[in-house]
Amino acid sequence: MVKSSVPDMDISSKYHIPLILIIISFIIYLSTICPTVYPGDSGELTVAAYSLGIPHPSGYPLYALIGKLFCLIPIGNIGFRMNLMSIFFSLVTVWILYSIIYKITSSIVASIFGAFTLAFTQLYWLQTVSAEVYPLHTFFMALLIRILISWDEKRDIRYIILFAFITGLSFVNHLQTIMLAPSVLFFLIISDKKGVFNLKTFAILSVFFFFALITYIYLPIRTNADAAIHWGDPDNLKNFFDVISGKSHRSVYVFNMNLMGYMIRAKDALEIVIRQFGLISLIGIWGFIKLPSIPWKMFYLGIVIFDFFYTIFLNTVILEITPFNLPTLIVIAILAGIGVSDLLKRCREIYFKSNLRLYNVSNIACGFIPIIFIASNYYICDQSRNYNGYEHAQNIFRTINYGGTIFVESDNNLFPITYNRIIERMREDVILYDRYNLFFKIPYIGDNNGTFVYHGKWSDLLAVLEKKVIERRSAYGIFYSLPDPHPISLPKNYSLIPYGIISMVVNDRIEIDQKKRVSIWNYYATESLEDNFYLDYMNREITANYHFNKGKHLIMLGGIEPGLRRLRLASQIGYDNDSIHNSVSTFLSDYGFLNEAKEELEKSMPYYHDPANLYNDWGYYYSKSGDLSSAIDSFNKAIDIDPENVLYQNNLGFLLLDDGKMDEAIKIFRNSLSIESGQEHIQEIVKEYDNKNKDK
Amino acid sequence: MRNMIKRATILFVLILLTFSAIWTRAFIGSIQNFKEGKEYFNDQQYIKAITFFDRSMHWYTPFNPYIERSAEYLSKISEQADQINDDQLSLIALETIRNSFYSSRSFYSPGANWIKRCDDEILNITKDQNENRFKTGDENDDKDKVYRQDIVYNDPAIFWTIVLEIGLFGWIGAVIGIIFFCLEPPLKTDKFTHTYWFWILFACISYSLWIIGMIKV
Repeated sequence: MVKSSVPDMDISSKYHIPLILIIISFIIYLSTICPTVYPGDSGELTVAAYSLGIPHPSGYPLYALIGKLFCLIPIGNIGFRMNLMSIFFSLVTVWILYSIIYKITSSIVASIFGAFTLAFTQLYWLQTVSAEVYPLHTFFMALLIRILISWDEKRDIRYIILFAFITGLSFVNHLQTIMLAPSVLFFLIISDKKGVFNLKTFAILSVFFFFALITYIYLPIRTNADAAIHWGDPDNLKNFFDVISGKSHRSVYVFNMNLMGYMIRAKDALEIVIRQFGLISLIGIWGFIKLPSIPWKMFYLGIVIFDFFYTIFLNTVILEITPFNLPTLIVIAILAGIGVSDLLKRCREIYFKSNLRLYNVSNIACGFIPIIFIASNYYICDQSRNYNGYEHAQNIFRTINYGGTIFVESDNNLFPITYNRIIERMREDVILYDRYNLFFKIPYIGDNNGTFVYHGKWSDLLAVLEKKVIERRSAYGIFYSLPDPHPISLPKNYSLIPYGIISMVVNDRIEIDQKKRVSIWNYYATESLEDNFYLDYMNREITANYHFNKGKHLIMLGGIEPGLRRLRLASQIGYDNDSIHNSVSTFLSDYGFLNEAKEELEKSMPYYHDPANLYNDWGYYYSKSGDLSSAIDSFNKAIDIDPENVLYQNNLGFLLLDDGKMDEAIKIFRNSLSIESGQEHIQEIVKEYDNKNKDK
Repeated sequence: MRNMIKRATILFVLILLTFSAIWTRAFIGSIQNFKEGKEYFNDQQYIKAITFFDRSMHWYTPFNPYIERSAEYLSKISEQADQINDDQLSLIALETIRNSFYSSRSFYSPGANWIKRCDDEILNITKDQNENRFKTGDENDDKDKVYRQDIVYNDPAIFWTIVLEIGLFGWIGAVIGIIFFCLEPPLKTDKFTHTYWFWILFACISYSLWIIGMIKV
């Protein structure tokens, strides 16, 4: 190891200085913490902790169980308390990291440098100011490395048993823990194969590992207890394994890209990591070179490689939403600490006799590096004025009539709404359903008084269930909060119109209260949405959607210029969100702003996740601009890529219908109905065509 | 022993400091937002005033007079909205009071009187709508019941929550105890036997408490 021959400070400072720094870091974190629920998963995770419920797979039982303790702190609101939990685990991680680097280098300065630089990197800090599972994950990662170092030092088998147990607990928090396995196994095999991999030890390790996994028993128990939320109902064996293995997420996020996609993702992931530490990454590389032990070199390298493997291939959620690279950052911080320790040692050798003052200056300078990180990242990580998630959900509820019903879709709508409803008891008169049927399930009442079994696709059933609700409850107002309201299929004589920041189902035969529709904007809380602070992807989505809806509203009222300004702002804020560009482009096409619509589509091209959707959007634009052959060509390309999407089929069908190509259009519509049978409007068109043909 | 006392004192002081810092942060947040809310109130910008009184109340701290004062101002906004027949504004102000108090629950629930008062007033304002709320055109009540969403909160009971948490940390601690005090030599001494049974028993009791807590909570 890179131990210093002379300690760089008085040994009594070993704990005092980091303790003071931890307190200072706590105060800085506290001044930047999000004051309530944060957009994205935070709302769901907070509700899960508060209600001892089950959030999205893998269920996060340990997070919920520990989080519940934080919910009991009688200060602030429950969202804020769960954000405090992130601060707590981030600080404990920094402390452990300090002790790791100190253990390796015996240098207080190097330990402060490594640990506190990590504390104020952008990625780490942003995870600290909101409720997320990653601070707990980084805590476990740091703890596991610390235990392994202790084992390596003492060769006491109990540390490996502890390691197995803590790995189990970490696994119960986040599945990414599995990526630690190759490095650890390699390290153990190289270091002490006989000592660890004999039958008796292996059996004991397995017992303790699986004992920790028993924490998953929380899932069926809390589902049976009917906790306020229980995603995936894991109270039977199939659902249980689906939840803990993240099955429902696997199809969406695992190995779902082409080669180019993976290359771009790898580049982005690398960029994110390098951006966190900047030049300090080079000191990390130096630290890696200076590591005298090959097994430890391979161990750290293994963590980084498998962490990247997970980020690039196994969970392809947008990188800004899910910081899977945190274990890599921990490794870089450790290595940077080791690197600095070595550099200081060299400085000492050079200056010790000739210029002691210069040596002291270099020491102090290293200790002060984290201050540069604080200064440069403070603005970005300061989320103390961020009420976006809360205000967004509040505004949705304010839009709904008394006794009205709302269908909700997408994380950014559903999770803050779930928080506001279950924790704050917001608008208990409103009937709330989520379109994934996870938390607020849609009931069915057909003609058979209850007993109802369905074996088809969820989208077909959803259409049936929604229609029943709309027919029965439309008098009190039916609303949708969706990222894209276009694919909704409604019963005959009903349409979906923009209504404030959401959409409302209206009966075509009944006139709606336009005055109320306009005045709803006066009741919105907009301070956070109009404020100027750094927004991450999820925040940008909420804010951009707000400006988009406001712009739409203004243009529909005739305020073209202010409306277009809002749309431009929406496009600018949601610059990397294809869904925002898609919505803006479609709206602009509808209102004849074809140049602006085209610009939007061009802007969105680098960020499209789904090429089929891109072709569909171009098709829509071409159809509005009168270039029918390009439109048909684009829709066909969209269908070729995603033949199961009825929206693309219907768009092509309507275009052909407008173009007088009745037979071709009907063929497409029939195809669309074979995919999703419940589309009443399409059924009508086909039926009318068939009747005409019969008459002939 | 002296060392242990020293460590316990440091831990106690740290916890005290931590809570003081959190309390101060919340208290300052509450005052700042209250002041801003009051400015907007005086300026008759009621929605903005509601936003800041709402924020002030969300920075709940025990012994904080600004929580009560924010609730009073919100109530005033509701009254003034009633006078100009703006039901929506009135409902928003009342909802804000009750939501804020609900969001501040911990092992006790502050503002129970306020919540009750707001519920009564909301019921009064929405009386007409409420009577018709669950009626549909065909008056087929049996079927329509399905759509009357009975909201299930199943809020965890505080006592069982505490039992559960003690159980959780107890069994995790006990397993670590087993690892360090039972799995290595000396293997067959009286001391070992006692230690062994102590940790096993501790783990079993804690584990049972945890399971019972999860079921009963």
